[in-house]
Amino acid sequence: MTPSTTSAKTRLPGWADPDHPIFRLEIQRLARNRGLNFLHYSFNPLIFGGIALTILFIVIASVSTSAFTGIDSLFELILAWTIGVLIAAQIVTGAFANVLVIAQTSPTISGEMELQSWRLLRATTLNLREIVFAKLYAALLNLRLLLVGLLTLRIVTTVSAMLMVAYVFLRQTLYYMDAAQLNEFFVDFKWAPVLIPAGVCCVWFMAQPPIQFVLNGVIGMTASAYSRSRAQAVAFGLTGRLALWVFTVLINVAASYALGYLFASWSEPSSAPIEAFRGRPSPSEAQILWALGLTVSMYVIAVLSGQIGMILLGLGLILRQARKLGV
Amino acid sequence: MATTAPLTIDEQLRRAKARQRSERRWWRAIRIGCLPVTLIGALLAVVTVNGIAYLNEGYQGILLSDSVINLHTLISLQALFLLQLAASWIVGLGASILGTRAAAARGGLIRQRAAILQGRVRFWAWAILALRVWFALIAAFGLAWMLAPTLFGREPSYTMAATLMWAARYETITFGLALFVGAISWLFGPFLRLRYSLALGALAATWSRRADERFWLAISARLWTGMLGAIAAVWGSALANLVYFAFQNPNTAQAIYQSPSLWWPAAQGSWLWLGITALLTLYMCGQAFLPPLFLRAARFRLAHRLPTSADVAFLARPADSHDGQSAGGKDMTLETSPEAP
Repeated sequence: MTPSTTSAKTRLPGWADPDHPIFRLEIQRLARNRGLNFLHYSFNPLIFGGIALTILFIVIASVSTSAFTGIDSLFELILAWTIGVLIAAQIVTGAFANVLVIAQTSPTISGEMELQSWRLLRATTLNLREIVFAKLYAALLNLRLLLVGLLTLRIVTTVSAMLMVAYVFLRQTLYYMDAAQLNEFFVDFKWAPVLIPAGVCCVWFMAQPPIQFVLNGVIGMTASAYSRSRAQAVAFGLTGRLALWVFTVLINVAASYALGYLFASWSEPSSAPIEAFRGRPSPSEAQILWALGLTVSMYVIAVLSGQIGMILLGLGLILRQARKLGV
Repeated sequence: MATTAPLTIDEQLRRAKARQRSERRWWRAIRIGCLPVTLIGALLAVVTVNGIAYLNEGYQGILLSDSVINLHTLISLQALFLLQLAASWIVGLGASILGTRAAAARGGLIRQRAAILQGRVRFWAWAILALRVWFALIAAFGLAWMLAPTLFGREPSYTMAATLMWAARYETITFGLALFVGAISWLFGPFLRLRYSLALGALAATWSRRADERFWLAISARLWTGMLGAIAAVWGSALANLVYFAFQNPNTAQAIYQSPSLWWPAAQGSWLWLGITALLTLYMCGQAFLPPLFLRAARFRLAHRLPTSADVAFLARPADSHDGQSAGGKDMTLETSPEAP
């Protein structure tokens, strides 16, 4: 064995080794699926080609209409349209990737149960953890190009949005500051309460494709562990994803509303709807900015932790249920 | 269900030869017919769009009025530009797919393979060049129509003509430089694009051993770089504009434009032409210098590829059972990889 092979193998856990029997079995099973392969491989060309053509169209259309809108706002117009198209593309491709990942991970355990081969697998010397993780890893690795495409979209959207924010900030805020205000803004770190949550939000936004990718895989596999047939597992997986999506939307709306309510009471105690805040002194503008920035940052970090927690919880549930399926 | 008897070796060889002959014939026909078909197709497209525009405008009587010539010159230019753009796009994709064939075996002869493949499809680039030359001829006529009115017995009345006259008079060097670099890029672009796409396809193919995967990887890589170019152009120009606006508030800088001095607008124009020259030069340099790097990277990747268990099993088989099929890839036959063991 060459040294490079050894070092590559020592870095990966056993179930992620290309020579692992379960991993190889799953990869071969997935590779035989021509329809899936076509969807998988054509995903990125469609995204990349589509974006390039759309940007070309946006640039041509914006330049043509710049006679009416003015050359000063040309780049803002191009960026705004580009961001709009990219977000729309993300919604469509994200939904497609979600369904595809769930559909691929759902049959992993339920398929073995349906074909009555699960007990055979469990009779081998491989432990349960290895079987489950190798199956999940193989299913996710086989769809890795989807993740590449989604990540590319995210990066492009993020950088375009940053440029757009810079434009708006420059033309709506900085242009209206005099020299003393500019000095105060940059030297007294007045930008920090804005930049910290912006950075955290960027990290959260960029982390979403891999997190959602793994989360969907885990949801599909959880449905698989709790089902007795492949069709049932796919249905459970997709329903579970939808239910989780609705639940998280409701939770986030409720939490944002509650935090906003508390924040409004704290920042304007004279008209606070909560009595406990009424007697308190009003915070300064800097305090409000810092509190808002830190609240947003903490909230986003909490959401990120929640997503990672859900993945770990799902893995725990899969192992627990798979253990019950019998040896 | 009826079963067919397995083919004998002789029958297989005979069919393979027939297939090769047929492919060769097709390839020759495409090579010979590419340029005439492109030109005739483009001519038909240009005539069609001009005809539709003429019928829609409903001119009566005067066939060669100013407005008719303006309109049809512009429409012809737009049609040809879009045609050459589409052709360049297709050639880029085709070359990248073809490039996957260069990334075979351990990558020892990758440069030679790429050069051979490039030579085989160079006629694609010639076809695009023909379209571009045609476009340039119509553009030259359009410029002459705008800039040399006495030649056609008419008065200059166009904003674009005034802009170009201004540029030629006050920004001679930078405008001339931009024009020169633009012309070079326009004429050599198809060949550089072919070379670049082929090398990119070869590099992308090294990420897989399966022929079907290599095909999609090459297409993805080509479209990804295309997207990157479009995005980089938007980001770059937006960033440059942002930097400019950081020092030049348009709300308060109007007075500068009212200055009687010609220095400021001329300097601004010169910067614009210099910017265009720099972008075009960067683009051409990328197309010229990246292919050798891509091929070198592909060669490195092929040479240092870790053997999979399937490769090991393949190599462990007795020598007489190596049937030309590599462990993981259909296209890695011994025929197409002379340096393979």
